[in-house]
Amino acid sequence: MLACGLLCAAGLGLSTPEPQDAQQRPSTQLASVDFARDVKPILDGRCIECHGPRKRKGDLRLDQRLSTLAVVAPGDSARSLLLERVLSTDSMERMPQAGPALEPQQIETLRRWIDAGADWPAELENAFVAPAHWSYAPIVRPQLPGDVALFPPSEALDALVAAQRDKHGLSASPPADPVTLLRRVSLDLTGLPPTLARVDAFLADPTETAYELVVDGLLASPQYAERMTQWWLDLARFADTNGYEKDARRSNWPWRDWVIDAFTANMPFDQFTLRQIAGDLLPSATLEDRIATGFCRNTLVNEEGGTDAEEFRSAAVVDRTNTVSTIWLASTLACAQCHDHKFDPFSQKEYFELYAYFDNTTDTGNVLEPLLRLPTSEQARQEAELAARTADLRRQLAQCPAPRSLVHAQLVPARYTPQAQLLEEELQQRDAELAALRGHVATTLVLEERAQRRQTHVHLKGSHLSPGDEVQPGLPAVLSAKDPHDPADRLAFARWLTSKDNPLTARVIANRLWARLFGRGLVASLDDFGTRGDAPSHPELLDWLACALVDSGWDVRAFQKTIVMSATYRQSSHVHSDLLERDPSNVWLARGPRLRLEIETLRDVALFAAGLLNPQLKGPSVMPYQPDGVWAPVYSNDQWSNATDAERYRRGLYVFWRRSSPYATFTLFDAPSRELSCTVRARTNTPLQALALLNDPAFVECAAALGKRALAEGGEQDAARAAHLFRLATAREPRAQELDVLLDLLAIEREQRGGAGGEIDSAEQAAWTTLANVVLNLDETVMRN
Amino acid sequence: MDPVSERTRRLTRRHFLGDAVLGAGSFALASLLARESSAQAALGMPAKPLAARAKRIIFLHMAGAPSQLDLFDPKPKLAELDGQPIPESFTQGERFAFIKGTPLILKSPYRFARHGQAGHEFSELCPNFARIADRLTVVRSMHTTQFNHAPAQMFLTSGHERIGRPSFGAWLSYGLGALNQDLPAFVVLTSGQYGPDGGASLWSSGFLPGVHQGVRLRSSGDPVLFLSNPPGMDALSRRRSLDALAQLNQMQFAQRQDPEIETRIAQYEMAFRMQSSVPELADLSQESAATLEAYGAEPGKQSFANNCLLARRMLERDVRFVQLYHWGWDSHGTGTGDDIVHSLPERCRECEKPSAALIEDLAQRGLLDDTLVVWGGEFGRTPMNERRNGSTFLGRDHHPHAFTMLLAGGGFAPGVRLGETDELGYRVVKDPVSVHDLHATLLHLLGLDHKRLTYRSQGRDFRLTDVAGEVVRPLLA
Repeated sequence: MLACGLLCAAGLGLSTPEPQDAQQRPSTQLASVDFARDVKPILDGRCIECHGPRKRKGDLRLDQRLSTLAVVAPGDSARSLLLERVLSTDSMERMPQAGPALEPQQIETLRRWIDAGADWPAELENAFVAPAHWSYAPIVRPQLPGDVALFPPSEALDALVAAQRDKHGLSASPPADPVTLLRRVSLDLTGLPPTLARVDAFLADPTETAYELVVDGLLASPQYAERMTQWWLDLARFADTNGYEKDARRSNWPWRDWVIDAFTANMPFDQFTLRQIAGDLLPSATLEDRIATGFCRNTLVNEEGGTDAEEFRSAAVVDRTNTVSTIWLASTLACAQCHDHKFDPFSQKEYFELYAYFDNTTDTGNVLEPLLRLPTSEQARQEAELAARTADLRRQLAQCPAPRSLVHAQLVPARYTPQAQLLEEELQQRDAELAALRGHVATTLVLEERAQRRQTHVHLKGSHLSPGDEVQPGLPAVLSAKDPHDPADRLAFARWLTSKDNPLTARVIANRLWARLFGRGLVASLDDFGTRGDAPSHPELLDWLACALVDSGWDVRAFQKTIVMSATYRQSSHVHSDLLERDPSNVWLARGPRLRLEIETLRDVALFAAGLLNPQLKGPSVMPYQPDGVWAPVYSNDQWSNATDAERYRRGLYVFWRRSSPYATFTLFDAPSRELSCTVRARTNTPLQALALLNDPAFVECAAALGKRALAEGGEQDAARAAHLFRLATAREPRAQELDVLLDLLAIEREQRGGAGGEIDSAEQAAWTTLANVVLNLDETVMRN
Repeated sequence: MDPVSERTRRLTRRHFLGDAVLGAGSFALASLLARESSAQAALGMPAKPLAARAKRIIFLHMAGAPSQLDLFDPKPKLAELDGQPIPESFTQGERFAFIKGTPLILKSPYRFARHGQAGHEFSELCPNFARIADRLTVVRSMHTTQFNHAPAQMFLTSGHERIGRPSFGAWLSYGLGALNQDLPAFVVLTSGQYGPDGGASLWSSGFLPGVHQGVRLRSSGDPVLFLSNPPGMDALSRRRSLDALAQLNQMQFAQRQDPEIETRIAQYEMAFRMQSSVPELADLSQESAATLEAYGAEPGKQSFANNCLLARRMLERDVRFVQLYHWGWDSHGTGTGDDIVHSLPERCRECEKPSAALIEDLAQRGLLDDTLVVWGGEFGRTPMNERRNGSTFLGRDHHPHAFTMLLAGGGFAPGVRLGETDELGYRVVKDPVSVHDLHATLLHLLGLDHKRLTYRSQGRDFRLTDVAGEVVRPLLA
């Protein structure tokens, strides 16, 4: 676009001379400018992005000599549009449009180069070579300064953070107080606050050793596995429905339980990767390995009549390609689906070479198959029994003398013998029982490889209806040091993802795990490690962490332990105006981060404080209370049925997820629809959220239970009860003035409701519910501090 | 290329943001946004490089797709060829949602006449549009790329057929912010037996911050989710508990100094204001009998008429984008429930009078000058009878190639009629208008250049109009 302007301007009289005369111009008196050394870096660094091989804005290419002569008058900088535009003070005119103006000495270099005849050596005719981008370079373990190399990992981490922080003239915050730290690490690792008993124990012994024991305990708990699974479900776009218009239910929760098991067992991340992408192709694939491939089947299925199965199969394969590119490679390969990537080194052909790894499975775009049946052992026993019995009945019936037409006749013909009639009746009953039993057997979606390789073509303009050249599975050139077609299949590709040949995954996953704890990645663009993404704030730390992750055998638990043991993590999150001004986003980690809890965690915290939380692990998704009319299914009578038993107090990660209509309160707090992979949830702060936490009957129920709990457990005095209530939500003792506010509220609520405070009647309960409602809405409760 | 327009075109968001004086809505918007997205918040502040002709918009989406051939685009040729196979030249290579075999041409059972000085043609099913003909701008040359409801509705709503992009209202909330601090910027109302096929994805904020998603005003229960205090808690008690909460949060702020805490305090106050502003808004009993009669609205009932009246109350209170969906225009002809003889007139009775009443009411209150009104479905219907499974009821299948939209209000040229279809109404033959063109034009009238309203996601800048869209100048006053 901007070069259009250049050329237009050229047409308006700023014409360029013919190249021939240019070369005969005498050179100027100043010291000579070398094109390769002095000029090309300026063009490559600041101009080529728009006026280069990819974008060619205005048909101008400053990587090509002839094209450049359209805006350069050799020997006459005053008549060269290039110079006029880099010098312009009009922000609409000035080049480059993106970023700051060129440095005065850069402009001077260009001027001297032009005045000297704009020499452009023939061997550099088409000279642009993209500079190596940091994230595609092999990971090299950074050399830590002297003694730091000998530090325990978390202290080495601190040293790397401190180096950058010092450089920016900031200093570390003091450690968070023990209660805040305990609540922080508990919420981060398990998604639940600490019990008051644990708070008391830690307060009595807030030592390094005690902290480490706490951390080890948290990491070993099943709640840790649930917390990590909740993180993974957004990335893996897990849902309980198929998506698209009909969005009918599906059963894929056994895959979700597989993830919980994997985190419980601390499965190394490379194995975790391998099984989800290609568990079915492992030489001796177990049932679990096949269940793991449900990750790939979290794609949408379009069951609407009249749909083109191939269109939606192709959409699912595209989604698998994009999801894997996003989660493991933090690469915006999706951009190369319709055309070559505009900024990163991925061609459209390379996109479909990657797509080809996923293009050879048997699933279609409009049915759920292939499915794996997962009967419990009891179901399997019953099924075998019933199957044997029905087979036996059929055999007996066949031997009956009376003529029979159909086994499944609606009416038993009268000419049956009484004996045959009895057999027939039992058979019908047993068949019905068998069908019902089979209907109750859990199923899960899996991948199955086709026996014969499907031909994969480039989709011209991204349309599966316009096949281009045939392609073979392969890696983008920038990521493959060796033969691009090795890895040859999905299994080999999954292995490559976490191999040392791939520079991205270790960095990307280390960055994701870091961001989970700090709310911000060392690379802020968690999903874009490409040229348009953010550069790492701490490149050494990132590579050091990536190496640590790989060298530990992809031990995710140990990796997170290193971080939470660090002083960096344990800093106070208090902000000061000076700090806020100098580092608003906390890039340099001069304080601990404060983050609004994710809604599932927020809900778990309320249930936990209220003493209602049902700790049951795994199993089918549940339907806790949500208001009538929220779940408006299209084209079906499928109903949300509010659980009335303890199921409604299960943790948030088990809540049924309908893609077209996720759980209402979750949506208000930025939960994604899970139609596509979501790796970062926004953390907004809105009035609709306030209304939900104040008035959602599910939260009000928690407030009532919390109020009751304070009355039952908090001793006899109002002050002690209010303090207990406050602690159950925030983990800490209220300060005197905070307690005063609560007690004042209690007094007036009690008075307004006609309660005397002497006995626990309904008025007294209501007053305490109001108090609990306030405490559950405190900023401190809603945040992880 | 014209250097002047090139120069104007290059006025990027970045530039005009630098100079823009922030409007009244900006504070509310900024405080609505998370600290983390404050950079985007800056981008989302009111900033008008173009002179805005309109401040608000109401989109009346007739879900299921009304038959343009029976309402707005008369084709005498269909009567002539009624019952005959359609020439293969029309249908070669075509895929239909339901039609099988060689389809037969179906005439419209309705009489058409010209109305107003504009001479707009309406069938007898549209007496009220006929009455206000001179206020309307008619586009007969709309076309889309999708022929199933959910993707076509997504396309009309978000400029993309698949789920995941922000809808128009979310873009507007992001681009212009809220005008009223007590109400959301983007409100959705639905009526009819079912919700629209695309479901809640139709008012999603996509990759924009969640704060921009449409708030669906519910017709039963709380108009906004969780608006009512729990049983046993009155407004006074709520006020007291919010005062206590604010005090405690203030103490926390004094300790921690995190501005997020101040934002939270402000949001709880807005929530409290909404507890009175929304029920007041939703209370139709405040309207005069004459107004209720004009719309055909009955307080307490779930209807399109009630939603139109509610919409006017919202527009009066400066809600930026009001989106109405009415389900049931899918006239396939499989029975009396979805044919063009029984069902179509029924939908018209439900929708046509309140739609016209809304436009007149806006005009009378001086709101039409700066409010855009858009009326239409996600695609059109075939000139052929669907005859699914040999059905003898008259109906038409989905048709993406040509349909009609009605426009009115702020900046549209009243009385103008744009576009023509061929003699069977199958394809557009003159002045085609794509969905992206429509979006570009609406944004233009709202003071936004569709090429500059962008948001970075997945490594690139996205637009409502993707990589297409031209402002349709002939439609502008």
